[in-house]
Amino acid sequence: MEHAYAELPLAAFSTLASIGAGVFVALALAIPGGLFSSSPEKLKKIDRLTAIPVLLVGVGFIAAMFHLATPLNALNALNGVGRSPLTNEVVVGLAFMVVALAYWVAALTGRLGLGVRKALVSVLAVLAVFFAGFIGLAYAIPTIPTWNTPFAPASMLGYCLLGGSLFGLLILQAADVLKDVASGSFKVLFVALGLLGAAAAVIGTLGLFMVAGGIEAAGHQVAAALPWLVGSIAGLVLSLALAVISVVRVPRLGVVALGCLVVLCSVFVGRLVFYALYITVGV
Amino acid sequence: MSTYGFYFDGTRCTACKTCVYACKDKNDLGLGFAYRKVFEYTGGSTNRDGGGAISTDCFAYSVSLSCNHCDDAVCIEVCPTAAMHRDPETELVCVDAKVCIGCGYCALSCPYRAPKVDREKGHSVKCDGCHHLVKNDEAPVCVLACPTRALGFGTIPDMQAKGEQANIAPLPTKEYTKPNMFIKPSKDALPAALPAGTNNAFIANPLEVL
Ligand code: SF4
Repeated sequence: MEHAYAELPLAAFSTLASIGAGVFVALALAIPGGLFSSSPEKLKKIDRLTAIPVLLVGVGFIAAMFHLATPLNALNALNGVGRSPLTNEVVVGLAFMVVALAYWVAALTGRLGLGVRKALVSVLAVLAVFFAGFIGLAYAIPTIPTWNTPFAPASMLGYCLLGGSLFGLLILQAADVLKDVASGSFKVLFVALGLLGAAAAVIGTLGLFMVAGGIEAAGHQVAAALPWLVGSIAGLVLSLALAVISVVRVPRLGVVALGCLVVLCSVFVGRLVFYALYITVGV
Repeated sequence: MSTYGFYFDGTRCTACKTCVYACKDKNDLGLGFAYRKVFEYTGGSTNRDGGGAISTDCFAYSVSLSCNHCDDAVCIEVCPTAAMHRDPETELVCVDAKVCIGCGYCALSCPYRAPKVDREKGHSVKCDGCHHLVKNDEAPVCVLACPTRALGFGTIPDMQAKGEQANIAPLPTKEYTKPNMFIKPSKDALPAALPAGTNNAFIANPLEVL
């Protein structure tokens, strides 16, 4: 796992950014259920609580800065548009961050009409999916067979959807609107989102394990990562269960918060495993 | 496409590492940094059969390796800042220290471990082929220093005339980056794609090179 510890800032970034972004997917699903037609006080609460995803992504970006040797030059990372997969990730991430901040500030200052709100949250949901996908694609480097697979973006998408659904629930429950919006279609869509997220994350993790396991020279690296990998998958499944219970049965803030904690930890461990399984075709 | 490349004669190298230290000296590299490294690759076993006869398939050889200034330089490809670039005059792969953010993608991607981020300097560092010497028609210091003349440097056709494009273990197969390093392999040298059942081949000096 040595390589994982060297990449702690990136593990933190990819965990926080993908989960934070995914919250907007969950919020978008709650729009038809009347998310933004709640009472003005509840709406205010939702807007204040939107600080959670904005902070998650923001802290993620700050963590990523710690990875750089010269963070002051960070904007140079835009020089490789279209060529460098890392630049593409940064571009999509920045686009997401700018729209998210604009949305949040406008919402807090009460300058958002219902139509614009719905549109912006939907745009953010789409951007979130792209952002998470591009974080995974940033590792599509032909000389690193364990990373250069569809499993890398798959697990990032999974983390985004599953983590986003739990933190989305947290906002809905803390703003006391979950029981209002959790009608039939929302329940189905939400459970589907969680399931899809967990499935993508688990398949992505198992796929990574399979590819790494096929590389003979990496035997000890894979063996060292295995317990962490199992722990991550167990955590992902547990958090899915907590999300489903909260939507289908009586929602409780404690249960949702526990789910958030579990998903945060299991995604972080999953990311550590990903970096630990850095294996090149070379020396 | 590169103009220049290295040549390595595996039949001459004694793994004395003079090239490594000449390079470290010229570039003033401290602990933990070396732009050229000598990989000691070894393996095999010695066995006694039922009749008491002893046989061995042990082998050992060395590969002196720096940046290969590859034609398909994956470091240039993935670099988000374009700091990793080709020197316009010599086509050698160099880091623009003012532009580099030290993200380390070049280091992750290079299958020869050529670039490495120096966090103190705040950017990635690697062999630049001594391009300022090359511009004055001189050879890189590693080449000049080698006491057995196992290293060479020159235009690609000249290097191609002396050896095969690097494709021996423990290096990756040449297709990945098309390295501009041409090798005359020693008798023991194994192909880059190790044949199945290769007898426990390993890098004997990992602390020195990895
Ligand atoms: S460390 Fe510097 S040279 Fe290497 S990929 Fe990052 S920006 Fe480019």
